[in-house]
Amino acid sequence: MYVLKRLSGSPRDALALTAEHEAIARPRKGEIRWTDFDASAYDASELDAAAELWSQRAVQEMHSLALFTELTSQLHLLGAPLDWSGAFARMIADEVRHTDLCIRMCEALGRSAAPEIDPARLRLLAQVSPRGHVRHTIVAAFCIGETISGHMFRRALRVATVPLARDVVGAIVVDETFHGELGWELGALLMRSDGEVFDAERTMLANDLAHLFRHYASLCCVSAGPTWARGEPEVDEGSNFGTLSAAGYARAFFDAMEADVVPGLVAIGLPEAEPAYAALVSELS
Amino acid sequence: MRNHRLGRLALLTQGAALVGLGMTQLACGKDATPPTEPSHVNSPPMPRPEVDVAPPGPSAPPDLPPTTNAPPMNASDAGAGPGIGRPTMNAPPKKLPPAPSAKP
Repeated sequence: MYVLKRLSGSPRDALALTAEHEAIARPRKGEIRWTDFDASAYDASELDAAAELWSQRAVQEMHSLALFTELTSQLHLLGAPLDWSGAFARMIADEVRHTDLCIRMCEALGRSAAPEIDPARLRLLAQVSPRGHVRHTIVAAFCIGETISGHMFRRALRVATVPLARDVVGAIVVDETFHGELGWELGALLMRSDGEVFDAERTMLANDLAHLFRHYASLCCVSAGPTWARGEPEVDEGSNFGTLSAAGYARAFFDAMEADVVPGLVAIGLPEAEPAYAALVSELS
Repeated sequence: MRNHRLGRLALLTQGAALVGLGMTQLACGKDATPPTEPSHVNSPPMPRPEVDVAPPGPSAPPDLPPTTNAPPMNASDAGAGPGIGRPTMNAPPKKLPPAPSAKP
Protein backbone atom coordinates (compact mmCIF):
# COMPACT_ATOMS: atom_id res chain seq x y z
CA MET A 1 0.00 0.00 0.00
CA TYR A 2 1.10 3.56 -0.56
CA VAL A 3 -0.48 6.94 -0.01
CA LEU A 4 -1.36 8.84 -3.16
CA LYS A 5 0.26 12.28 -3.00
CA ARG A 6 -0.42 15.16 -5.34
CA LEU A 7 2.93 16.95 -5.48
CA SER A 8 6.57 15.97 -4.99
CA GLY A 9 7.74 19.27 -3.48
CA SER A 10 6.36 22.26 -1.66
CA PRO A 11 5.20 25.25 -3.73
CA ARG A 12 8.18 27.23 -2.41
CA ASP A 13 10.77 24.99 -4.05
CA ALA A 14 8.73 23.72 -6.96
CA LEU A 15 10.40 21.14 -9.16
CA ALA A 16 10.58 21.24 -12.95
CA LEU A 17 8.59 17.99 -13.05
CA THR A 18 5.85 19.57 -10.95
CA ALA A 19 5.52 22.48 -13.37
CA GLU A 20 5.11 20.02 -16.25
CA HIS A 21 2.54 18.03 -14.28
CA GLU A 22 0.52 21.13 -13.51
CA ALA A 23 0.49 22.06 -17.19
CA ILE A 24 -0.99 18.61 -17.95
CA ALA A 25 -3.43 18.85 -15.04
CA ARG A 26 -4.99 22.09 -16.28
CA PRO A 27 -8.43 21.62 -17.87
CA ARG A 28 -8.40 21.36 -21.65
CA LYS A 29 -11.27 23.83 -21.79
CA GLY A 30 -12.40 26.55 -19.40
CA GLU A 31 -10.96 27.47 -16.04
CA ILE A 32 -11.44 26.23 -12.50
CA ARG A 33 -11.96 29.09 -10.06
CA TRP A 34 -10.26 27.50 -7.05
CA THR A 35 -9.70 30.76 -5.20
CA ASP A 36 -13.35 31.82 -5.38
CA PHE A 37 -14.43 28.89 -3.22
CA ASP A 38 -15.19 29.67 0.42
CA ALA A 39 -15.45 26.47 2.47
CA SER A 40 -16.76 28.37 5.49
CA ALA A 41 -20.04 28.93 3.64
CA TYR A 42 -20.95 25.23 4.00
CA ASP A 43 -21.76 22.91 6.90
CA ALA A 44 -18.89 20.76 8.12
CA SER A 45 -20.92 17.59 7.60
CA GLU A 46 -21.54 18.51 3.95
CA LEU A 47 -17.85 19.16 3.41
CA ASP A 48 -16.95 15.84 5.10
CA ALA A 49 -19.33 13.87 2.90
CA ALA A 50 -18.22 15.59 -0.30
CA ALA A 51 -14.51 15.12 0.51
CA GLU A 52 -15.07 11.42 1.19
CA LEU A 53 -16.66 10.91 -2.22
CA TRP A 54 -14.01 12.95 -4.05
CA SER A 55 -11.30 10.93 -2.28
CA GLN A 56 -12.91 7.68 -3.50
CA ARG A 57 -13.03 9.16 -6.98
CA ALA A 58 -9.29 9.87 -6.79
CA VAL A 59 -8.62 6.17 -6.17
CA GLN A 60 -10.81 5.15 -9.12
CA GLU A 61 -9.10 7.65 -11.41
CA MET A 62 -5.70 6.38 -10.27
CA HIS A 63 -6.76 2.84 -11.15
CA SER A 64 -7.76 4.04 -14.63
CA LEU A 65 -4.42 5.80 -15.00
CA ALA A 66 -2.52 2.61 -14.15
CA LEU A 67 -4.65 0.49 -16.45
CA PHE A 68 -4.42 2.80 -19.46
CA THR A 69 -0.68 3.21 -19.03
CA GLU A 70 -0.23 -0.56 -19.04
CA LEU A 71 -2.51 -0.87 -22.04
CA THR A 72 -0.53 1.71 -24.01
CA SER A 73 2.67 -0.26 -23.62
CA GLN A 74 0.90 -3.34 -24.96
CA LEU A 75 -0.36 -1.49 -28.05
CA HIS A 76 3.26 -0.91 -28.99
CA LEU A 77 3.93 -4.65 -28.91
CA LEU A 78 0.93 -5.41 -31.11
CA GLY A 79 1.77 -3.15 -34.04
CA ALA A 80 -1.16 -0.77 -33.62
CA PRO A 81 -1.24 2.26 -35.95
CA LEU A 82 0.55 5.31 -34.55
CA ASP A 83 -2.66 7.33 -34.12
CA TRP A 84 -3.68 4.83 -31.43
CA SER A 85 -0.55 5.85 -29.50
CA GLY A 86 -1.43 9.52 -29.88
CA ALA A 87 -4.98 8.97 -28.64
CA PHE A 88 -3.67 6.98 -25.67
CA ALA A 89 -1.13 9.67 -24.82
CA ARG A 90 -4.10 11.98 -24.33
CA MET A 91 -5.98 9.33 -22.36
CA ILE A 92 -3.09 9.01 -19.91
CA ALA A 93 -2.85 12.80 -19.55
CA ASP A 94 -6.60 12.96 -18.92
CA GLU A 95 -6.44 10.40 -16.13
CA VAL A 96 -3.52 12.24 -14.52
CA ARG A 97 -5.67 15.41 -14.66
CA HIS A 98 -8.70 13.68 -13.15
CA THR A 99 -6.73 12.15 -10.29
CA ASP A 100 -5.14 15.53 -9.58
CA LEU A 101 -8.50 17.34 -9.71
CA CYS A 102 -10.08 14.89 -7.27
CA ILE A 103 -7.31 15.30 -4.69
CA ARG A 104 -7.24 19.06 -5.17
CA MET A 105 -11.00 19.19 -4.69
CA CYS A 106 -10.53 17.57 -1.26
CA GLU A 107 -7.89 20.19 -0.44
CA ALA A 108 -10.28 22.96 -1.47
CA LEU A 109 -12.92 21.49 0.83
CA GLY A 110 -10.42 21.81 3.67
CA ARG A 111 -10.01 18.07 4.02
CA SER A 112 -6.74 16.98 2.41
CA ALA A 113 -7.08 13.48 1.05
CA ALA A 114 -4.53 10.74 1.60
CA PRO A 115 -6.13 7.84 -0.24
CA GLU A 116 -4.29 4.54 -0.07
CA ILE A 117 -3.46 2.65 -3.23
CA ASP A 118 -2.92 -1.10 -3.20
CA PRO A 119 -0.60 -1.90 -6.12
CA ALA A 120 -1.88 -5.48 -6.17
CA ARG A 121 -5.35 -4.17 -7.08
CA LEU A 122 -4.25 -1.92 -9.93
CA ARG A 123 -4.84 -4.68 -12.48
CA LEU A 124 -8.48 -5.31 -13.11
CA LEU A 125 -8.16 -8.11 -15.59
CA ALA A 126 -6.46 -11.47 -15.72
CA GLN A 127 -3.52 -11.84 -18.02
CA VAL A 128 -4.24 -13.60 -21.29
CA SER A 129 -2.53 -13.18 -24.66
CA PRO A 130 -1.42 -9.57 -25.28
CA ARG A 131 -4.00 -9.07 -28.01
CA GLY A 132 -6.76 -10.71 -25.99
CA HIS A 133 -5.76 -8.60 -22.98
CA VAL A 134 -5.88 -5.35 -24.97
CA ARG A 135 -9.30 -6.17 -26.45
CA HIS A 136 -10.65 -7.29 -23.08
CA THR A 137 -9.35 -4.14 -21.39
CA ILE A 138 -10.75 -1.81 -24.06
CA VAL A 139 -14.18 -3.40 -23.85
CA ALA A 140 -14.18 -3.42 -20.04
CA ALA A 141 -12.55 -0.12 -19.17
CA PHE A 142 -13.71 1.97 -22.13
CA CYS A 143 -16.87 0.54 -23.71
CA ILE A 144 -18.34 -0.28 -20.30
CA GLY A 145 -16.41 1.71 -17.66
CA GLU A 146 -15.87 5.03 -19.43
CA THR A 147 -19.35 4.99 -20.95
CA ILE A 148 -20.92 4.62 -17.50
CA SER A 149 -18.50 7.21 -16.15
CA GLY A 150 -19.58 9.68 -18.86
CA HIS A 151 -23.23 9.26 -17.90
CA MET A 152 -22.36 9.67 -14.22
CA PHE A 153 -20.32 12.85 -14.65
CA ARG A 154 -22.85 14.47 -16.99
CA ARG A 155 -25.50 13.92 -14.30
CA ALA A 156 -23.13 15.22 -11.64
CA LEU A 157 -22.58 18.36 -13.71
CA ARG A 158 -26.32 18.86 -14.05
CA VAL A 159 -27.00 18.61 -10.32
CA ALA A 160 -23.91 20.40 -8.92
CA THR A 161 -24.87 23.61 -7.17
CA VAL A 162 -21.46 24.60 -5.74
CA PRO A 163 -19.67 26.68 -8.42
CA LEU A 164 -16.24 25.11 -7.78
CA ALA A 165 -17.71 21.63 -8.13
CA ARG A 166 -19.33 22.64 -11.42
CA ASP A 167 -15.95 23.83 -12.73
CA VAL A 168 -14.16 20.61 -11.70
CA VAL A 169 -16.85 18.25 -12.96
CA GLY A 170 -17.14 20.27 -16.17
CA ALA A 171 -13.40 19.80 -16.80
CA ILE A 172 -13.78 16.04 -16.35
CA VAL A 173 -16.87 15.82 -18.58
CA VAL A 174 -14.93 17.36 -21.50
CA ASP A 175 -12.44 14.48 -21.29
CA GLU A 176 -15.02 11.76 -20.67
CA THR A 177 -16.84 12.63 -23.88
CA PHE A 178 -13.65 11.97 -25.84
CA HIS A 179 -12.99 8.76 -23.88
CA GLY A 180 -16.40 7.40 -24.82
CA GLU A 181 -15.87 8.06 -28.54
CA LEU A 182 -12.36 6.64 -28.49
CA GLY A 183 -13.41 3.53 -26.58
CA TRP A 184 -16.14 2.53 -28.98
CA GLU A 185 -13.99 3.13 -32.05
CA LEU A 186 -11.14 1.06 -30.61
CA GLY A 187 -13.55 -1.62 -29.42
CA ALA A 188 -15.00 -1.98 -32.92
CA LEU A 189 -11.59 -1.98 -34.63
CA LEU A 190 -10.36 -4.66 -32.21
CA MET A 191 -13.34 -6.87 -33.02
CA ARG A 192 -12.11 -7.43 -36.56
CA SER A 193 -11.59 -11.13 -37.00
CA ASP A 194 -8.43 -12.70 -38.32
CA GLY A 195 -9.15 -16.34 -37.79
CA GLU A 196 -9.67 -19.07 -35.26
CA VAL A 197 -7.64 -17.42 -32.50
CA PHE A 198 -9.93 -14.41 -32.68
CA ASP A 199 -13.02 -16.62 -32.46
CA ALA A 200 -11.72 -18.26 -29.29
CA GLU A 201 -10.80 -14.90 -27.74
CA ARG A 202 -14.16 -13.39 -28.68
CA THR A 203 -15.97 -16.29 -26.99
CA MET A 204 -13.86 -15.87 -23.86
CA LEU A 205 -14.70 -12.16 -23.75
CA ALA A 206 -18.41 -12.81 -24.37
CA ASN A 207 -18.44 -15.32 -21.52
CA ASP A 208 -16.89 -12.72 -19.21
CA LEU A 209 -19.46 -9.99 -19.88
CA ALA A 210 -21.72 -11.05 -17.00
CA HIS A 211 -18.76 -10.78 -14.60
CA LEU A 212 -17.80 -7.35 -15.98
CA PHE A 213 -21.37 -6.04 -15.68
CA ARG A 214 -21.50 -7.15 -12.04
CA HIS A 215 -18.13 -5.52 -11.35
CA TYR A 216 -19.25 -2.11 -12.68
CA ALA A 217 -22.65 -2.45 -11.01
CA SER A 218 -20.84 -2.91 -7.71
CA LEU A 219 -18.69 0.20 -8.35
CA CYS A 220 -21.90 2.18 -9.02
CA CYS A 221 -23.54 1.31 -5.68
CA VAL A 222 -26.11 -0.97 -7.36
CA SER A 223 -27.92 -2.85 -4.59
CA ALA A 224 -31.27 -3.45 -6.30
CA GLY A 225 -32.82 -3.27 -9.76
CA PRO A 226 -33.55 -0.33 -12.07
CA THR A 227 -37.02 0.23 -10.61
CA TRP A 228 -35.45 1.03 -7.23
CA ALA A 229 -32.73 3.23 -8.75
CA ARG A 230 -35.20 5.25 -10.80
CA GLY A 231 -37.67 5.62 -7.93
CA GLU A 232 -35.27 7.20 -5.42
CA PRO A 233 -33.90 10.77 -5.30
CA GLU A 234 -30.89 11.21 -7.56
CA VAL A 235 -29.08 13.49 -5.13
CA ASP A 236 -28.88 13.94 -1.38
CA GLU A 237 -30.32 17.03 0.24
CA GLY A 238 -28.27 20.20 0.73
CA SER A 239 -25.52 21.83 -1.30
CA ASN A 240 -24.35 19.62 -4.12
CA PHE A 241 -20.60 19.18 -4.66
CA GLY A 242 -20.92 17.25 -7.93
CA THR A 243 -21.97 14.00 -6.30
CA LEU A 244 -25.02 11.75 -6.56
CA SER A 245 -26.92 9.65 -4.06
CA ALA A 246 -26.33 5.88 -4.04
CA ALA A 247 -29.49 5.46 -6.10
CA GLY A 248 -28.29 8.25 -8.40
CA TYR A 249 -25.06 6.36 -9.19
CA ALA A 250 -27.04 3.17 -9.70
CA ARG A 251 -29.42 4.98 -12.03
CA ALA A 252 -26.47 6.27 -14.08
CA PHE A 253 -25.32 2.63 -14.37
CA PHE A 254 -28.68 1.30 -15.58
CA ASP A 255 -29.29 4.21 -17.96
CA ALA A 256 -25.80 3.90 -19.45
CA MET A 257 -26.14 0.14 -19.84
CA GLU A 258 -29.49 0.36 -21.59
CA ALA A 259 -28.83 3.43 -23.76
CA ASP A 260 -25.23 2.80 -24.82
CA VAL A 261 -23.32 -0.16 -23.39
CA VAL A 262 -25.53 -3.10 -24.33
CA PRO A 263 -26.56 -1.80 -27.80
CA GLY A 264 -22.95 -0.82 -28.49
CA LEU A 265 -21.58 -4.23 -27.52
CA VAL A 266 -24.14 -5.92 -29.74
CA ALA A 267 -23.15 -3.63 -32.63
CA ILE A 268 -19.46 -4.52 -32.33
CA GLY A 269 -20.17 -8.25 -32.38
CA LEU A 270 -20.94 -9.23 -28.80
CA PRO A 271 -24.66 -10.14 -28.88
CA GLU A 272 -24.16 -12.03 -25.61
CA ALA A 273 -24.35 -8.63 -23.88
CA GLU A 274 -28.15 -8.67 -24.05
CA PRO A 275 -28.75 -11.93 -22.14
CA ALA A 276 -25.91 -11.09 -19.72
CA TYR A 277 -27.53 -7.76 -18.80
CA ALA A 278 -31.01 -9.31 -18.62
CA ALA A 279 -29.66 -11.90 -16.19
CA LEU A 280 -28.12 -9.19 -14.00
CA VAL A 281 -31.36 -7.20 -13.89
CA SER A 282 -33.28 -10.38 -13.08
CA GLU A 283 -30.89 -11.16 -10.18
CA LEU A 284 -31.34 -7.66 -8.77
CA SER A 285 -35.09 -7.33 -9.13
CA MET B 1 -26.78 5.27 -28.66
CA ARG B 2 -28.32 6.37 -31.93
CA ASN B 3 -28.87 3.99 -34.83
CA HIS B 4 -26.43 5.69 -37.18
CA ARG B 5 -23.70 5.43 -34.56
CA LEU B 6 -24.44 1.76 -33.96
CA GLY B 7 -24.32 1.19 -37.71
CA ARG B 8 -20.97 2.95 -37.94
CA LEU B 9 -19.56 0.79 -35.14
CA ALA B 10 -20.77 -2.36 -36.90
CA LEU B 11 -19.02 -1.21 -40.08
CA LEU B 12 -15.78 -0.59 -38.20
CA THR B 13 -15.67 -4.25 -37.19
CA GLN B 14 -15.33 -5.21 -40.87
CA GLY B 15 -11.95 -5.35 -42.58
CA ALA B 16 -8.44 -6.55 -41.92
CA ALA B 17 -7.31 -6.81 -38.32
CA LEU B 18 -5.19 -3.81 -37.34
CA VAL B 19 -3.36 -5.34 -34.39
CA GLY B 20 -2.29 -8.71 -33.16
CA LEU B 21 -1.63 -11.95 -34.87
CA GLY B 22 -2.15 -10.63 -38.38
CA MET B 23 0.34 -7.83 -37.91
CA THR B 24 2.87 -10.12 -36.30
CA GLN B 25 2.67 -12.59 -39.14
CA LEU B 26 3.10 -9.80 -41.66
CA ALA B 27 6.14 -8.54 -39.86
CA CYS B 28 7.75 -11.94 -39.36
CA GLY B 29 6.64 -13.87 -42.41
CA LYS B 30 9.19 -15.30 -44.78
CA ASP B 31 8.72 -12.37 -47.17
CA ALA B 32 9.29 -9.74 -44.52
CA THR B 33 12.36 -7.56 -44.98
CA PRO B 34 14.39 -7.21 -41.80
CA PRO B 35 15.16 -3.63 -40.87
CA THR B 36 18.72 -2.58 -41.59
CA GLU B 37 18.89 0.47 -39.33
CA PRO B 38 21.07 0.26 -36.21
CA SER B 39 19.44 0.21 -32.79
CA HIS B 40 17.99 3.50 -31.59
CA VAL B 41 20.15 5.46 -29.19
CA ASN B 42 17.53 4.89 -26.44
CA SER B 43 17.23 1.17 -27.04
CA PRO B 44 18.00 -0.99 -24.04
CA PRO B 45 21.22 -2.97 -24.27
CA MET B 46 20.83 -6.17 -26.22
CA PRO B 47 21.29 -9.32 -24.18
CA ARG B 48 24.37 -11.13 -25.36
CA PRO B 49 24.81 -14.87 -25.46
CA GLU B 50 26.64 -16.34 -22.53
CA VAL B 51 30.33 -16.78 -23.15
CA ASP B 52 31.28 -18.98 -20.23
CA VAL B 53 31.34 -22.11 -22.32
CA ALA B 54 34.50 -23.70 -23.57
CA PRO B 55 36.19 -21.96 -26.48
CA PRO B 56 34.62 -22.78 -29.81
CA GLY B 57 36.24 -25.33 -32.00
CA PRO B 58 37.91 -24.43 -35.24
CA SER B 59 34.77 -25.12 -37.25
CA ALA B 60 32.44 -22.97 -35.09
CA PRO B 61 30.69 -20.01 -36.74
CA PRO B 62 31.85 -16.50 -35.84
CA ASP B 63 30.52 -15.33 -32.47
CA LEU B 64 28.06 -12.71 -33.73
CA PRO B 65 25.13 -11.66 -31.55
CA PRO B 66 21.77 -12.50 -33.19
CA THR B 67 19.45 -9.66 -34.14
CA THR B 68 15.84 -9.47 -32.90
CA ASN B 69 14.71 -10.44 -36.39
CA ALA B 70 17.11 -13.31 -36.73
CA PRO B 71 15.66 -16.33 -38.50
CA PRO B 72 15.76 -19.70 -36.74
CA MET B 73 19.28 -20.95 -36.29
CA ASN B 74 18.75 -23.82 -38.71
CA ALA B 75 16.32 -23.89 -41.58
CA SER B 76 14.98 -27.21 -40.28
CA ASP B 77 14.04 -25.56 -36.96
CA ALA B 78 11.43 -23.32 -38.55
CA GLY B 79 8.30 -24.37 -36.77
CA ALA B 80 9.26 -28.03 -36.99
CA GLY B 81 9.99 -29.07 -33.44
CA PRO B 82 7.45 -29.20 -30.64
CA GLY B 83 7.05 -25.79 -29.01
CA ILE B 84 9.40 -24.08 -31.44
CA GLY B 85 7.65 -21.23 -33.18
CA ARG B 86 8.88 -18.48 -35.38
CA PRO B 87 10.32 -15.64 -33.32
CA THR B 88 8.19 -12.53 -33.25
CA MET B 89 9.66 -9.08 -33.77
CA ASN B 90 9.93 -8.65 -30.03
CA ALA B 91 11.11 -12.08 -29.10
CA PRO B 92 14.36 -12.17 -27.15
CA PRO B 93 17.29 -13.47 -29.15
CA LYS B 94 17.90 -17.15 -28.97
CA LYS B 95 20.80 -18.30 -26.91
CA LEU B 96 23.44 -19.61 -29.23
CA PRO B 97 24.03 -23.32 -28.75
CA PRO B 98 27.60 -24.30 -28.02
CA ALA B 99 29.56 -25.43 -31.00
CA PRO B 100 29.51 -29.21 -31.45
CA SER B 101 33.19 -29.39 -30.72
CA ALA B 102 33.05 -27.23 -27.59
CA LYS B 103 32.77 -30.12 -25.16
CA PRO B 104 34.17 -33.61 -25.32
